[in-house]
Amino acid sequence: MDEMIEKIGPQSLVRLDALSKSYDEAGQEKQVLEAIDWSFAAGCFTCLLGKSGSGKSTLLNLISGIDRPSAGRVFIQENGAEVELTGLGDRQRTLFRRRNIGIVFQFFNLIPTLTVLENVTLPLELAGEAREAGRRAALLLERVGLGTRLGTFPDRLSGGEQQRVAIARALIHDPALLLADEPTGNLDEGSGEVVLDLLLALRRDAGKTLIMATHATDIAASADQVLFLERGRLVSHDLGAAV
Amino acid sequence: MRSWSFPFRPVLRLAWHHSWRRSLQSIFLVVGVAIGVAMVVAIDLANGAAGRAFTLGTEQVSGKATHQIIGGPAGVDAAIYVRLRRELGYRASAPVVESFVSVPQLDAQPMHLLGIDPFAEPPFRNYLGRRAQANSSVLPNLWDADEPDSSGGYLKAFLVEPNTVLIGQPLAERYGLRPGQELQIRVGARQETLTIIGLLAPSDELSRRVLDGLLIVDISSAQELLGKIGRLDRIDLILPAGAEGAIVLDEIAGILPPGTRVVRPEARAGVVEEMTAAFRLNLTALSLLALVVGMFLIYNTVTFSVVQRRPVLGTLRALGMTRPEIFGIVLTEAALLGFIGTLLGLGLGVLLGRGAVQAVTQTVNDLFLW
Repeated sequence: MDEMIEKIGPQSLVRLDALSKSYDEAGQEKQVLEAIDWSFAAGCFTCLLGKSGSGKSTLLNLISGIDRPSAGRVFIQENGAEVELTGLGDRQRTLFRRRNIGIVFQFFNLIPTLTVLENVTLPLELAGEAREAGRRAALLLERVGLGTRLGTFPDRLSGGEQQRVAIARALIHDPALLLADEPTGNLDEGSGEVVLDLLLALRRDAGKTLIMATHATDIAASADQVLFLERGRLVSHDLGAAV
Repeated sequence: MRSWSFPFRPVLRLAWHHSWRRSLQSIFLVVGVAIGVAMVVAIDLANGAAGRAFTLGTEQVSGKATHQIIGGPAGVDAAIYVRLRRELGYRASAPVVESFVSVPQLDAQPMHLLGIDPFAEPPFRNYLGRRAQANSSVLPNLWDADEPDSSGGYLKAFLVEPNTVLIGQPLAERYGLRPGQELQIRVGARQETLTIIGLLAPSDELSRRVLDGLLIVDISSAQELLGKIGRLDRIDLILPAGAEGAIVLDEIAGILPPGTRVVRPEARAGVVEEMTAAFRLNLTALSLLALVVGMFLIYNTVTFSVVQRRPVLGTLRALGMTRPEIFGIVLTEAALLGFIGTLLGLGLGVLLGRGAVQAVTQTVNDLFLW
């Protein structure tokens, strides 16, 4: 399928170049991702589809710089210049992520000892914008329908509410790139729909690039493009084929 | 690339909130640190207080004595003192019965109970009040025969009434004590009551320091209080220098029974110092062991806290916290709780120290001194 893979071009925000990842498992090398080449256009919503273990989460971890590839490179635009994320050291990579990437996890991953407001302000405070943090977080939480729960701790919230807080946290520092790893995977159908609608609406309004890993094919219907992963290989970028 | 600065605010908040919300873990750590610090402080205070008291007791209270007659653990037979003065006619000698006792009214600090014969004392210990503020009605001049009677008869009371005591004026002022008041002392497991009959004014800084740690009683009272009837702890001597002194020394040695000998005060003090130093070193080592246990508790609690929070720390890394910042959270937590534990430990150590002073004093008293 490699020849089918389309490169979007110079307006791309994220570019993957022969990205591979393998793990050592009991002395045996296990290939998780194999030579992925792709470009993600700025402002696009891309859906990564595939079964469990197909490499979706690994790909997101490599794009965010949380993990390092075994081979290949990741390039991301920052202030009009393309930065090779895989060429940066651990500290620079972390600081790059802090500035440019927002992440929504499947299990929400809120900090249990911080209140809703403090969870959301954290990325801005890390970025050194503490003065603005409170006001912006309150506005954003109002937007996700939790304006009255600012002082609540995460363990007092439902799963859907926690994920809405996580979405606000991912957007508070205005990142160019939003990564979501199965954001509705741990929610019931009703909460999942609410969270997804909210995430897509906020992304659209703010013009963010969203890459979402999911195994729910119905979500793919709202995506600008769909990539289908199978055993670590990019096998299709055709929505119809994927579905 | 934008400039980077350490995010103190979120790091402090994460550290503080975690310590606060995981209070059981935090209490465990604080208690561990507090106990370790308290042990070190208590032992250090006890060692310091006992050391100061013994140093003054064994060196300064010897006064102008050039030599001392000492015996074994049971001390010196009082009959030797009688023979010394009657058979040899040697007047420059003074009997002493002494021990360290604890006085609850004086913060349980070790006090040197010094039993003396007031008539034999003048050549030896002038800081005991000789000619000090003789015109004061409060401060007795114990040694001049005219004065005590004219200023209230202290000498008579000192000699005749049992369990009467003289203490230093600065000490009395510090603890609000006045003549006529009673003073409870602990001698081993027993409690005894002394009556203050007078205050002694120090003539200089040295005598002030010595008087701060002294309870002066008549020798017969001291023998009764300490259970040493018919025994003396030592006999102080002032021997002439040179050949004349050597002759006197030979004469004195001639009347001493086996086990009793003449030594120089500084030699005795040196031996005592060596023995007590080893004891105090042991105590210090034990207290440091408590501190090591405290440190182990900190290490264990912090390690447990980090392992338990691995998912949270992973999330913080994903949100863009660098490794040094994560390390900063862990360090800040340990420092915060360590600081609180240290403060508590200092207070607890002072309280424990009071009890420890008494125990250390008693042990050194029983094992090394008298």
